[in-house]
Amino acid sequence: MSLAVDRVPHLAVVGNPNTGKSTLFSALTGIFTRTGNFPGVTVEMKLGRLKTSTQEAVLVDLPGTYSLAARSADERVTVDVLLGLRPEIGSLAGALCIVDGTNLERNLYLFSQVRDLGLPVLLIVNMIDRAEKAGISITAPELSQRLGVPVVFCNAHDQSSVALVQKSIFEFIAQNPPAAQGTDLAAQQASNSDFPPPFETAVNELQGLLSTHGRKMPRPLVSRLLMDIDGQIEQTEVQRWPELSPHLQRLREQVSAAGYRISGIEPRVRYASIRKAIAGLEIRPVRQAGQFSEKLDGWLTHSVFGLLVFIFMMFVVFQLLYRGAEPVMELMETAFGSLQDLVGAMMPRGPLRSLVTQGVIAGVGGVLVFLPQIVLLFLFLAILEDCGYMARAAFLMDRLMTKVGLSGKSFVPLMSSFACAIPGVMATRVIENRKDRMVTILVAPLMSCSARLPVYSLLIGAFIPGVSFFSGWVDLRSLVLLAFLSLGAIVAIPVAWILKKTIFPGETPPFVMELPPYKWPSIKTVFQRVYDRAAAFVVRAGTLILLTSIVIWGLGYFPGDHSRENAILAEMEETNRVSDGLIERRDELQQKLKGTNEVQPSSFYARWIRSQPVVKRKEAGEIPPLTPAEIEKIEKDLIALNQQIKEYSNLMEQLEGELVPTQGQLQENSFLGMAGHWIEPIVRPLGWDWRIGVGVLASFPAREVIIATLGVIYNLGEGMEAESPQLRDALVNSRNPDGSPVFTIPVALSIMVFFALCAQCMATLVVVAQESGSWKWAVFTFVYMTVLAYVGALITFQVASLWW
Amino acid sequence: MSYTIPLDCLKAGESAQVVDIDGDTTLLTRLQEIGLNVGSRVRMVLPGSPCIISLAGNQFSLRTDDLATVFVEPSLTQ
Repeated sequence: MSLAVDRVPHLAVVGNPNTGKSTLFSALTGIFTRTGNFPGVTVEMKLGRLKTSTQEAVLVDLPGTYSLAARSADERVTVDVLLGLRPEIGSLAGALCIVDGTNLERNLYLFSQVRDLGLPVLLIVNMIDRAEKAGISITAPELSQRLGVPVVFCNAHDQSSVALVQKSIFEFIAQNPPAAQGTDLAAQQASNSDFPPPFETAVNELQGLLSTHGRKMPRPLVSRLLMDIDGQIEQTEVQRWPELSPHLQRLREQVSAAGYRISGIEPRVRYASIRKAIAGLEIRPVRQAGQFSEKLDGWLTHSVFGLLVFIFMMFVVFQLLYRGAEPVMELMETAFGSLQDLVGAMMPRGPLRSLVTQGVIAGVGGVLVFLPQIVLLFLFLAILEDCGYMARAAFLMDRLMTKVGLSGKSFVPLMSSFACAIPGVMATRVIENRKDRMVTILVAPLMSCSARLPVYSLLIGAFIPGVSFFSGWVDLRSLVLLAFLSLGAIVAIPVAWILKKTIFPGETPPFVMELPPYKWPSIKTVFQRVYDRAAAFVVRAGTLILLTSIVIWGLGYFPGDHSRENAILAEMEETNRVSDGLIERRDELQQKLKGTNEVQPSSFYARWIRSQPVVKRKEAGEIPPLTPAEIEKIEKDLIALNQQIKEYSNLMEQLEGELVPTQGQLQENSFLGMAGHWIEPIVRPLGWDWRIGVGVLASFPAREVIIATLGVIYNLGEGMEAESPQLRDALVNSRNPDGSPVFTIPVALSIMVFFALCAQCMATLVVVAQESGSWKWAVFTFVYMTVLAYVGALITFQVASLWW
Repeated sequence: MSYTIPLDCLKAGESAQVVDIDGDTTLLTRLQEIGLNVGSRVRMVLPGSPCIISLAGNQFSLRTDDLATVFVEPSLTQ
């Protein structure tokens, strides 16, 4: 691509985790970066601009990794970006490799892999202050001499040091103009390879083989294909060309026969050459930071005390999450409500207005209200992660999670899902094992999120008797609530186990995780992480949710004839307007009447003002007393007004009484209502009638929608709250055609079990699709959870019916 | 006089040198990528499964189970 010459040079930033890569990246580019998303994978890459008055470059921050050996599609992206194979990024001018100066040997492993890709590399040795304290005794030019690439020493927390890095980066770009670097990495030969000649011969042969079969592959990728046994590259290439397998096996055996065992060849070769390059530079491990961390770890990873601390932390986080987010969520709900009214008042009645207010605003609003909770949760997670505690929590939970075949890394995402599955599913990005991550994503929506709460509180309040035991300490309702809150998590255990045994078979993944030293969280890093996640949620989920909201709205609106509804609504608005005018007039008159007696003669001032002439009294703000005749007239008017107001209010009530059944009728005759009748035979065994069926169908976008839907269906009007007593009574008193109550305890339990286990949340399904990389998995989640919910509700209803 | 034991047999605070790593290739490569090589010095911070080890000043939590065995030679000087 010749475009590469003209555009701003792009540089990749790579490095091991915990090398201060993110800190340096944000020090160089500032807080506002763009997160690049890649279709099909979940790798997050941040693009930031590095700018001086005369020069500019784009830095692409790749996820921290120890190695380029690609085991998953996500890891493969890193290699592809570095090779310039991703069209979203294009070809690179070079790579900045950030290494931890206190741990050169291990960090240089990744560096040597990056260098072998054929890209120009600038080595940035970070944490040089600590490395110097630990006794490193080499200068940047000397290290550059040994490694054959430019080297700059750096301390990401030091301004002047960052400025030096910036200068070095532009020098580096100047030395490696994109044009000279070229894009034809495929033609590149291994010039100064560390690998033995038999290996290189095999790579050449493999590359030739591939190209005769129409697959032109860059040489570094071919080399990775040969040495990464059963890695991601091998899997995709074999899929493309199945005969590749025997060739690969033959070539690998050929290298092994020449005396270089192919298994583990990469670490052997690389570490040997690294050790040679940095011979004599070995430094003593730094201890100052480590020692404090280790002491703290003695407590925080303790099998009893550590667990207690963990439980306490989670308790606090959840308390803050519920209490902190609630007022903001309520505020947003009110705001969206007023927006609906405002827009509604500006538009003529009809389908378009209904679409905008009921479809678009209600739909998007319904999703955006979760934003405060998501932001808060990510804030807590980011703080805990950045200070180093999250790795300890995963460590603690590993023992528990291995029982279902998962590792400790799945715990935090699952725990987050108790607040909301959306951030929970997004938090699975920390799990590098693909199978593990998939299982975690698929069971996360089972955790009882906050949207299930309104459903539980409505039905428990209506049908579970308010009995308490142990002299009022424990009451039945909260016990039932607790049972429903834990139901999903309990069901998730066998589900995860079965998924691990069937669809994602594999041993319990090994658990290798770095425990970074404890530190104070950096505000910048925390802010950036929260911002990225929240923005991703709004942008990605928002668009699809909008679409589905509109579809559901359409299904509920059409094909009914809304002229009667509109006529009633118009009359109601008119009535309201007139009645408001009357009320205003009445208030005015009442004020006038009251004004005469406003100033009590007991006060000295009042007595004085009363003695003054009328003009002066008006100036002083006192209205002169009305004459008895005037008073009589006003009182008469008031009585008449009150009468009129009462009439209008009666009219209003009457209209409302007409509107609600009309709306109910429309809902029943809409496509959604038809579907409700259609599925009645299916939901009958759960103890439901068609109305509950409609409620469940309509609540596909979000569980809590069922409350509003039941409100409409039971002819109470929209805007019903879970706590509203009218709705509760309506449910209790609703009757089947034969006179038996629709809602009994078994029915209520069956509905709650259904909502505990179902996947009635579009936002979650969208995020599952995004994060798993395929809609297939969203459909799978929906199907398996709905089946589970149906069977659960069926068993609940049938068993409970034996008692009640 | 030196003896070789699996890594998980180290007691808390004991240091050792890695003498051999055996098992699943993928996991071996992963261990080597984090710097657990033949010749590396490790210190057991918290034994168990998973355990916490200290490797060149960095702490790693590790559970390798049946997939790999790391053999070490405890240092007698500790």
